[in-house]
Amino acid sequence: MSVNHQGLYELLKETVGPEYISDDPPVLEAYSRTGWVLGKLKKKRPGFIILPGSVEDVQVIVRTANKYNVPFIPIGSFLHWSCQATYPETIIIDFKRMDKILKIDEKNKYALIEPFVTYSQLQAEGMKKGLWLPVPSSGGNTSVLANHLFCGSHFAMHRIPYYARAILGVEWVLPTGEILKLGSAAYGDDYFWGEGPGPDLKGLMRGYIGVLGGLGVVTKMAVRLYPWTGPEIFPCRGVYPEKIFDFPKDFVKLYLAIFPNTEDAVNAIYEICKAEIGMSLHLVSTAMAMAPMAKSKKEFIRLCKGFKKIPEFLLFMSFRTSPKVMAFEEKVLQNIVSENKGTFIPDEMVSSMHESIPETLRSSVSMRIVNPTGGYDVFRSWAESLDKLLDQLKQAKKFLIEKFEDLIHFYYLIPLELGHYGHIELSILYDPLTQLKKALECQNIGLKQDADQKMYVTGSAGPAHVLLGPAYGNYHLLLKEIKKKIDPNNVSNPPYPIDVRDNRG
Amino acid sequence: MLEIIEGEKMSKEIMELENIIGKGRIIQTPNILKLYSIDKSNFDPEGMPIGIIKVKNTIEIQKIMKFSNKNKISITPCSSGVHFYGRTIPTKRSIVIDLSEMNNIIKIDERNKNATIESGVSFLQLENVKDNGLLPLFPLCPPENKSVLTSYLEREPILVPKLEYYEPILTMEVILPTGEILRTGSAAVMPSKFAEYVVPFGPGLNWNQIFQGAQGTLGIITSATIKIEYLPKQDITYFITSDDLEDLIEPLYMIQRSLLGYECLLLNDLNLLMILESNKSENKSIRQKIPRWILIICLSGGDKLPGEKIKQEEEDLKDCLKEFKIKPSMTLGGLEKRILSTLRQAYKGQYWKLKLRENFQDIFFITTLDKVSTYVKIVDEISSHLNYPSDEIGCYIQPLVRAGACHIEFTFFYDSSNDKQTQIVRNAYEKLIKRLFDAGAFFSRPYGSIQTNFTYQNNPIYSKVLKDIKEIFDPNNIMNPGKLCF
Repeated sequence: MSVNHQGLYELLKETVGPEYISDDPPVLEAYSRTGWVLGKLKKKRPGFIILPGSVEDVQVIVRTANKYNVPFIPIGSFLHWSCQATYPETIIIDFKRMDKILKIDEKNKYALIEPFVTYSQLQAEGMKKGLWLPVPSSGGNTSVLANHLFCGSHFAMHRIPYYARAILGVEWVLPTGEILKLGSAAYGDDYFWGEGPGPDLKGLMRGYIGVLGGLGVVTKMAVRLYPWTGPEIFPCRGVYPEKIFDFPKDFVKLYLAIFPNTEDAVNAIYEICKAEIGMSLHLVSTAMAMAPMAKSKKEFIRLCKGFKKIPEFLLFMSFRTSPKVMAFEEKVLQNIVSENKGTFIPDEMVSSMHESIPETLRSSVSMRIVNPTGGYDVFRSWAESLDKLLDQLKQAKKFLIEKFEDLIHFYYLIPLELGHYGHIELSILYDPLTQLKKALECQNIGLKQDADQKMYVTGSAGPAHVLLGPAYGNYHLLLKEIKKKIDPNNVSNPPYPIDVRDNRG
Repeated sequence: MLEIIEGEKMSKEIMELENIIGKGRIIQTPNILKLYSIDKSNFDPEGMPIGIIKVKNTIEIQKIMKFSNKNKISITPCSSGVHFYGRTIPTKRSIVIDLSEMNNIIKIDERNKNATIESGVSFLQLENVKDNGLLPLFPLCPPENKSVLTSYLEREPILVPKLEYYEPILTMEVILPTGEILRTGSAAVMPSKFAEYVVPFGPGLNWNQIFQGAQGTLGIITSATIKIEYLPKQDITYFITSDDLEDLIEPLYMIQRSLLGYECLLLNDLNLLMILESNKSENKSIRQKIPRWILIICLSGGDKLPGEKIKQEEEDLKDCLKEFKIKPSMTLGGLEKRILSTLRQAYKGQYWKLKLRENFQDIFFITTLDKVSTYVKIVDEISSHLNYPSDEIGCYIQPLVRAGACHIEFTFFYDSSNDKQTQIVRNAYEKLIKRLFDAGAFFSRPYGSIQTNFTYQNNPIYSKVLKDIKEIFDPNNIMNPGKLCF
């Protein structure tokens, strides 16, 4: 069935009312590219921006899109380029009106949220009730729901699981417009539990990363919250980048240590995981450690020069659950660092890091990371055992130094679930005006190398599935079947999670 | 070697299959088939398989699956030597693929805290990792021949409610009904010098989650890499007891909110005594000495300063219980010494739930701790009304993910040779499923026709999507048909 642009506009307008739909060119232009620099390369205007107010609105929008074979894209914070239109007349579903925290269950430690609730918003409300959740590296203004679906990587993954584990009950509008409810929400209004009944269909929502709106629209989600013993109000003052954080000294404590080589540092991480201490644990390259501290490009370069003989730091953060825990953790940490030939950096040498790191609790350090050059991207990202990640890192660093030495690179390695496995991101900083193409080339070569060498990539999506699939047991063929079955008209953000056909020219 | 009975009429397909996997490999001896047609506690009808194949390796399973898929022969997989929920009873005439002889512990990785095991590895076998200073993640006193992978795939709760230990499966090897292999998580890159196959997510989707709770309806899991933990160097076990369950709920919330302890669970007196005592008459006298509800919390210390760790946790435990005016005890009528060692191993000898009567029937579901007292009252009321003595109901409450939710399990005991007892338990079971369902109980892993009917009839869209997924993996519906909504 076909309809022209104006006809579709009228149909959608009937659903949400004239004030919540737009096809005004300046508005469409604003939605033509996301905040990610690489998104600039595939800039394209969508056909409509629509702001639903309820799940029923979403159902009508999705059914209309199906009826007229028009693609739709549900967006969260509009950061990732998968939120950008690929096809003409695309309907962008923006959830700014659906921004309510529907419930915080203090006892059972979860929140039920709508799609546009941000991390800062939920964290602030949670802290009043002795609960919180760490903010992902994309920042406090990120949609909690979208980020739990897409990625969910945060600075405390050593102790608080990756957010793929934190999704509880879900309300999900399928690409056909039907409502699927998962977990305890499957037959009731209680969203406290996420698995089942029977096979866990949460498995369809994401792998290491999500399906990027390619299998429908999640309109409600319960997410797990975690005990918080800090102040009810987040203690900060000033304006970025001069923001100051006034946490009580006995609440959060940061330690930095250096080791003779990366192997010793990784051994220390294994021991820390074994001892089950600390809230946050990272091995960060010096440039990565300096970026959050620097308030300008000039300062970044100065700091990097100051620490140029040190390749990386072990960064350990302890939170107070009780004063006794903090004292015990410090003692064990000292023991482990010393046994692994490490040395602590005196606090006064990294005082600005002590000032800026608490920012990771609320707004993340993403803005600071972009500061030095204006362009930032993840060149390689893998997950595996910590030892294997170390092997991968060595090889990738060598490649970067040989082939792309003018792009600044930095990395962090983080153990997950007390070291059962780990995650590493090797990122590049570049000048978006002069080095964008080079950055993209670097990234594409990296992905191909990962497939050839059978490294386990975390950030696979869209075309990457087709590239990696044959090296990963042809999982992409099953993924295609699932996309076809769940989204029979291929209207839910094609070509995600994987391209199944192209019938729109 | 078991031989096919002389004169037994085999279908053409069975003979063809035997040609593929080897003469004498398909067991059709009636008394053995009978063993696979029933289990210990299920009210669903018996289902006689047409043959049993004790498989040896992945290649063999692939051959059977390809053949069965082509010829539309149903397959029911089983791994444990003991079954309780009807999951392995063939609903249609099926071949049972018995994986119990695929029981190799392929690898133990102490540094990365994992083990790679085949499906037939039992908890009894796995507990030997203690020799390497490791500890398996145990559910509550599993039968010694229970398959570890089956337990984890069926999402049986484990005793340690820490967030980091939830979902013990890291990666898996799955044989799909087409005979193809799907490796989940980072095992997808196998073989690779850059991987130890320990990442649970992806590639593309979370296949682990899709296969969990599937009761063998989507494929056969042949091996997996699972989380293992370090064996603590020192432990102290504390008990908080009361005759009123409600007294223990807030303290339990507080303990978990304070991130204290290792194993933590709540049992009623009947369950505790069945686990610890072998003698029924002894039970009666001890039972009079202990309160009805027992909260068990174990404080543990690892390699580094274990004594200090325990001391710190002891002080924090006492601090957090002050507001409830509770002092945790280290004694429990003389039973205290055996508790922790019993919880950290497979249950030896006769399974504890079979000590009181010949059979038992479990009802379990997921809820939150603030609602458990309501459910206990419902169960007591309905059971009494149906003349089932409430002091013969076992109850086990397992906090999950730091008490974000809990598993609650009621156990009814009966002798299947006693028609009256059987009928009483059957009536109680049927009435309770409906009543608990209406009261909000979430049957996250529904077993048997009564539970599955309630679950899936009340959510047609969930059933529809499950069927869509099933059709992709198993287009001919050969995998354990009749289970769940398939």
